[in-house]
Amino acid sequence: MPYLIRASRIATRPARAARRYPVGAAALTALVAMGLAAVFAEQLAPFDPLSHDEANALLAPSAEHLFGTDRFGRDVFSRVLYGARISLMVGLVSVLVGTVIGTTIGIISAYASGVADLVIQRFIDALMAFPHLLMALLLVVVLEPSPVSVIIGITVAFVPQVARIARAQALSVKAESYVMAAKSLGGSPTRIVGRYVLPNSITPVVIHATGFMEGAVLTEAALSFLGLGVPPPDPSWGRMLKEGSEGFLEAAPWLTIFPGLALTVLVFCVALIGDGVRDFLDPRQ
Amino acid sequence: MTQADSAVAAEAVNVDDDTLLQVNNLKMYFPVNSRGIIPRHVADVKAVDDISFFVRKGETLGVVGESGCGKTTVGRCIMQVYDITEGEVIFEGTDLAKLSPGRMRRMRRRLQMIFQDPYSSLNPRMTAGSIIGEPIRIHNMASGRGDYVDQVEELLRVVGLNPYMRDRYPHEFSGGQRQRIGIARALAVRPSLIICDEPVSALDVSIQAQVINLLEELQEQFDLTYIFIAHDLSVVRHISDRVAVMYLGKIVEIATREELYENPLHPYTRALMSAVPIPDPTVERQRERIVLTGDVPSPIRPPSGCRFHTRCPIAIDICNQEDPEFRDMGGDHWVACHRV
Repeated sequence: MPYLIRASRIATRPARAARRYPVGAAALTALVAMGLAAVFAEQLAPFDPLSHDEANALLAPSAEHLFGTDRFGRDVFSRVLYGARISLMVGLVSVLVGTVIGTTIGIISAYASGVADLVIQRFIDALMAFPHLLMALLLVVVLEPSPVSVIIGITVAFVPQVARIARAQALSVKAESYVMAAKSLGGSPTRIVGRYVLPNSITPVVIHATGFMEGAVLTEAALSFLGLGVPPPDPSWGRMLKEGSEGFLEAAPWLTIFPGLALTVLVFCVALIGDGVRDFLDPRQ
Repeated sequence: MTQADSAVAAEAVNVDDDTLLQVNNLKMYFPVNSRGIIPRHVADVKAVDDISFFVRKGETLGVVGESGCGKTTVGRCIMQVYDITEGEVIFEGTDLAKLSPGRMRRMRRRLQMIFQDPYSSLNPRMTAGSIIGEPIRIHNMASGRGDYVDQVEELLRVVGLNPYMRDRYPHEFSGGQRQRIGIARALAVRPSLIICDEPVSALDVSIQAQVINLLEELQEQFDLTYIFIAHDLSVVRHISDRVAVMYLGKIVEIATREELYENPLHPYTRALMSAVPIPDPTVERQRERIVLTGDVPSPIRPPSGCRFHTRCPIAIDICNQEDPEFRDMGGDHWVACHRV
């Protein structure tokens, strides 16, 4: 596959790739750094993110507490580190699962056509009528609050959009004469979908997936901000923003600035990587 | 031609051992649906409307006609890419239209297709080798990895490509080379019939000649029968043994190549022939050109009677009332016209 060959070239010559896609490379480096920080939070965090220390509550940022402390004396820096776990996990898992499910539904719908397509598409219309935050909120309320239900909620909210994109692409690929050629060679429907329709429909889905990851990270933060995300005491950037905004905005702005900054940087990096992926996958370059 | 007539004709031909393919009363209507949440069937595009013809073993049947006359649809109906509306496609004694999908898939080893556009007919995500090897894998025709590679390399050689090119992707080939890959793919299953759907229309004139010559060599080498669909009359004249002329979903005339080009009977065929330029300025200046007026009518609502009467220079009253019978004029020359 041409993309895999190019991808392997990039992997073997990172310096050249970085020169070609400087912004994307920088964003990817930042994202990998955040990922490593999240994975090794236990080793990197100077304090336990959950232990209360009332004597040192609401301290301004200092050499000891880089991002200050909250009203229970918990170290904000450590909490931001641990919070990255939730954001990244929710973002990656829901995008991965959502993309796989959405692509499957979309391609089946396009390939089946006729009544099956009609029914699936009207069902997707119904799902898309809800704004995705509302959809995710609804599901999280119905399920018990846990990281898993947040992931389920966000996944379900994004599946219809992925399905639409995959279906649109598969419909145009289906009309290509190489698909007719495969049919006239005697290829089974599974083979035609797996070897012809899917590989040629996936590019725009992959490009949009980065956009969904931004949306997923922000939706998780929004749910946590509304108190419906990851249950306390596990740190989540969304809930840290909420706690910091309840009477501490002026007195202790570091409570909101640092988790907000972390969230912004993460979403920004994902967006820039999305642009890089788009450039990379564009055959016209 | 009525049902009874064509049945008689079909039987007469079926007795003939030489017939490889017999098409009887083939109809292909594409439904036109209204837009909306629940689509409704409002009309049919009659792309192919009740045609019958046969192809003998080892011959090349040319099919000509202008864009939209249904010639490509006929090819695809024979391949059973579409579910035909009505009619029979009898290939080597079996009616393909009645086969189950599974049996039809196995039957596809016997008949293959070469496509018009060499750019969109090859999967851009597969290498030349795996495109050519796909039919071998589908029909389990190789005894092992080594045999498979040998077969693919041999096919590349047969169509005039280098075996080392098998790891390249379609975009790394020129148009002519891509069409050769398409030909190798069709040859891979050792078919007896190949439907060539405008195989050279998308190529440069110099490349066209190479591909045509290759097709002729292969026909000799592998005992192939071709249905050669094209709109270029000189190409069809070069390669065909017999030629069928189509107009608006109907075959208006079938004859041997010499007969059709020397003695065209149907007014539409005559108009087509007179549109071919003659490379001799004296003759070209003197000959009379028949220029058709008007456009091709819509295949959704074809004209009554003879479909050509709206543009026919010699039409009379009966032409817009009665569909002309497809008549044998002797010497393998069939024509559908009241005035002949």
